[in-house]
Amino acid sequence: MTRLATGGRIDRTRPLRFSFDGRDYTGFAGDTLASALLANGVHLVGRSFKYHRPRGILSAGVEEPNALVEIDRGVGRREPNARATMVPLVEGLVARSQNRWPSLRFDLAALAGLGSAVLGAGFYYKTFLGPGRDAWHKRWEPLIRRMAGLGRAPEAADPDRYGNRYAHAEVLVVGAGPAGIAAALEAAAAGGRVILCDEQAEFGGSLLAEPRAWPQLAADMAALSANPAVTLLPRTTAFSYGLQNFVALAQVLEQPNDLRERLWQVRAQRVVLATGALERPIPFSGNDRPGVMLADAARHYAQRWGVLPGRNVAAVVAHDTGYAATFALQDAGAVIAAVLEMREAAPAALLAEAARRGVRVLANHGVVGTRGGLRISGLLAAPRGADGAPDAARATPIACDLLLMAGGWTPSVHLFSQARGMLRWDAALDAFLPGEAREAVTCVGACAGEGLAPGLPVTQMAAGSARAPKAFIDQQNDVTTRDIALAVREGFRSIEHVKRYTTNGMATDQGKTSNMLGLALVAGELGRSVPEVGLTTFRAPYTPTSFGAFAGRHRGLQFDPVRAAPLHDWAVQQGAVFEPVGQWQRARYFPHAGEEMRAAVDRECLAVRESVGIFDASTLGKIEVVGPDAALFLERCYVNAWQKLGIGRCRYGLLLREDGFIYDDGVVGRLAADRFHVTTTTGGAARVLHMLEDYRQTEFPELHVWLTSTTEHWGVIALQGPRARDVLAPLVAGLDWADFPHMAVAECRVAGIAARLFRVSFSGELGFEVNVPASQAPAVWQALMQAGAAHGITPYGTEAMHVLRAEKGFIIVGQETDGTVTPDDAGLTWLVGKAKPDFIGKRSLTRPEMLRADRRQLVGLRPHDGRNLPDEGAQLIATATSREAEGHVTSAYRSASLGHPIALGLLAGGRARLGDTVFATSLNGAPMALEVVAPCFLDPKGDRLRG
Amino acid sequence: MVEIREMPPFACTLLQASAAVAATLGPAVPAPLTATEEMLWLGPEEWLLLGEPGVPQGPASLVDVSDRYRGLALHGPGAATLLNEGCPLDLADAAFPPGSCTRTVFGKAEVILWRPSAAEWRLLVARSFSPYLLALLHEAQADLTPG
Repeated sequence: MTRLATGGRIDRTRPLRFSFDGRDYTGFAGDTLASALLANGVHLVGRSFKYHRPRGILSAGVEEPNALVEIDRGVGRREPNARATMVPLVEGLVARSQNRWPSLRFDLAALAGLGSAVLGAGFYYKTFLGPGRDAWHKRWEPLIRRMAGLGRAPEAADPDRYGNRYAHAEVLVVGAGPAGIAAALEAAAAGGRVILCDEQAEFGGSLLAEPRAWPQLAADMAALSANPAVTLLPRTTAFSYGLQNFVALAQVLEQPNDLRERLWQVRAQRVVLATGALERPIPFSGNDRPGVMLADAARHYAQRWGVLPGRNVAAVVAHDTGYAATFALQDAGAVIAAVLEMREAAPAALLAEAARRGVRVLANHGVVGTRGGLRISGLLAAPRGADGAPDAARATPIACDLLLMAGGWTPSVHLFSQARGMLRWDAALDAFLPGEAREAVTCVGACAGEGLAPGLPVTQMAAGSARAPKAFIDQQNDVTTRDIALAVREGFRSIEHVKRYTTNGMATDQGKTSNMLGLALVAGELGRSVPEVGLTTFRAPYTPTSFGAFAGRHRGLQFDPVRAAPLHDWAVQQGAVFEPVGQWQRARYFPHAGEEMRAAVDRECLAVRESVGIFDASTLGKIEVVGPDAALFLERCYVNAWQKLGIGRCRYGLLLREDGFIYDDGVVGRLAADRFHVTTTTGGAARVLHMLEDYRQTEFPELHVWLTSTTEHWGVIALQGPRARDVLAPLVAGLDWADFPHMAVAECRVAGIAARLFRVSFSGELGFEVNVPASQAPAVWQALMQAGAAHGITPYGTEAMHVLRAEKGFIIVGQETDGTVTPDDAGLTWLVGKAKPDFIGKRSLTRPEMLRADRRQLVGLRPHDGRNLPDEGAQLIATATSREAEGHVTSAYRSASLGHPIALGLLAGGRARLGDTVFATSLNGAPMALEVVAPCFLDPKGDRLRG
Repeated sequence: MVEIREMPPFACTLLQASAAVAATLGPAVPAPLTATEEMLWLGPEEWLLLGEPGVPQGPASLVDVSDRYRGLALHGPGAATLLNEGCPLDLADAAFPPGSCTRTVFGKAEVILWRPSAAEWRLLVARSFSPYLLALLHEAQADLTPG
């Protein structure tokens, strides 16, 4: 065991059992998975992405590139690529290593590592171009995906819930280290709401490795948590910083099998970033061997978790902080084999302290290489030569079981940069620091460079490493110093290009430990400075964020609102088959027991033609247009003439866009001089209201007219068929039937309910649409069903509705039209008010292109064979072998009433081609011959309407 | 800690008119972003009248929309937190004091949010969206941490 007898913030009275790769271990409450593994002497935790090299735990925090494990909480709860350093230990935790076969200790694919000399940067681009077309997609990519790639995505649906919370705060503090806690205390004292979040399970940041600071930390946190205006969010990562201080936080909750995560969307008046700094690794051969660790991480393991990650410790140091870490491990009981000081000399005070402690410091030394298999057993130390590389000829071996790397510090400016803040290069600190801000944001602590001292500049630290073999800079993507040098030699100059070519910094850690080294190496190869090379872009998310957090509760039935019309429940009881129309669920047909769709639709259609059908039309959009200028407003918007429409009369209205193409249609009824009941298509309800409201407010503000959506207020029941009046009349009160012709509207009572009754038809039969308040619609429907029983009243769905209207040649906007169809194309010129001075789209209709005789026009199409249907969307061609499309099929149905299939289509110059034969292309056969006919197949004179 | 209650049906009329004409209807016209027991401000020149409307003296639009909305009433100290599950507005007392009323969203549903008193919040939602809204609220309610 490497667990210390005392010390740390773990609770030794609360042991927790967990398993890793099937072996059982014990840790303590307060551990992370990484600290618990180290306490059990487990350093080997994973295999690398490309070369399958054995990898250990590099860090103690969010930047971890190696210790990526699979956490398995059961079916659907398997989480790949979890950073062991960020997983709090819980009882029964099941973790597995990834990317190894057959086992972690013996991985066959590690043989790839033997060939690593040929697997360098750009390897994929260069190698897998042949043989043959599609070689990459069909052959190489699947193979490489099996070999490389990290964790396995879970296959089962995620049973956990994910919440969302919008929050507002006067101050949001990101990061609860000393600077963040101080900022939160200050903000709380000033009053107002404060949110303090930290990605770790425990607040304190660097203080957690400073036992002397713990009493004050406890007092500060107690003060914050006692303040009701302060919200404390542990295990919460601020991962995205958007415009106007809109910051997204991903919170991982305690209950593992309940509410799993919560996405916080915070709008803060001021944001304080206290995101700290990350320690830089040092590039040398074999720096990825298990047991090579960031120096400050080792200090945290010793002081925060009471774990000694090695007993015989060496350190390679480019920064003063490496000494504090080394001394802390010595204090915890480790033997210090040597400190390799990469600088010419360490500060005198540190050297004196090292001497006092009996720690051997080798000045101006570097690491030639490391020894060991699955864990480091020693290193070769050598004086650095003129080019910065250690001189292998003068190397001496040093035995160790832990090698610390103290490469200096990189302030975490990710979020500041996401917020479009400018970064500035601080030459003294050798780091990019926050510069000019674009948001109300303050950076404090190490992320602003506060409290950081300069060390060996990163370019000097990396100098000479480009020629060292297997010196890794991006351990997650297996990018070496040689890969960077190769990319530069091959002509890549932009750091963005070098990044993409080598994949440096493109793994899930987004280069937290590798980007600065990559910059330093490119700078060295090009002979430029780091700021001249520039910086890659920081993008959200700061750390990987689960899909669940983004999806929140918008899944399953709540993925999108499912809108049900007032008669939905009745249709469900009848066994209706539904189809989605926008967000609505509409009954498509009502099959009898054992009845196929085709038979049901035929039966429903025939019932309407022969007797009476009943249909739920409630989803139709409805807009009440009211005001003394209502008629004038409609006159200016729709193509039709409205001023002379009598009260109690209806008209089929057509609405264009400014470009002259059909936008929507629907019946409009005039209820009073100043009141119109406008209907729209089901799908067009919202956009038509928005368009009309836009014109009302911006084009015609002088008109006294207002628009109100009444779509949801009215339930609409359509009765269609020769027996419709017989069913309806006995239930109607207060209507003068003598003055109620086709296209009339009246307010009356139906089945005792105040109603707006329309005499309209979308089927070509005598028809009525009964509008009653939505809550009353089921009762009125029932009354009509009872009254219609004697006539065999038949409920019908949207499919029959489509067939019935197609038999009449009535268009459906969005089916016969596609945004390029004019009124004339659709055969609706008769609607356009010629004498009107203007309407939306009028000017466009006079453009020469709109007047061409060969425009595609609506026609009917009748299959020659009298049996088969053309495909909707099929191209229309003049001869069976023609390759030139002259239009397309827009609708095609079997017509039980006519006894043959029918279709509608748009055909170039179609109205002049009646009687011609055209062909519809087919995806699975010869083109189908069709006769061009008039679009109206049934009762062209409209006698049935007046029945 | 949060009670979600479906409100009984209520009569309402959408009024659109100039503020001067609206004032002729009788009830005091509420200021923007507020509501009274008789009248909810919904937008510029737009109010929802509860109960029987009077007769406006001037050009106006009055439309019965009683069946357009379903109402939900939320009570309890966690109500604002629950609402912030799906509503992005600042609902703290200082930003949304009792008497406030606005149109906003909850998830993907457009709602009218009205706070008649410190302890009560009302949501009016278009009828067909109410099952969606209720399902979201009930799921979020179950996840609300006590306190």
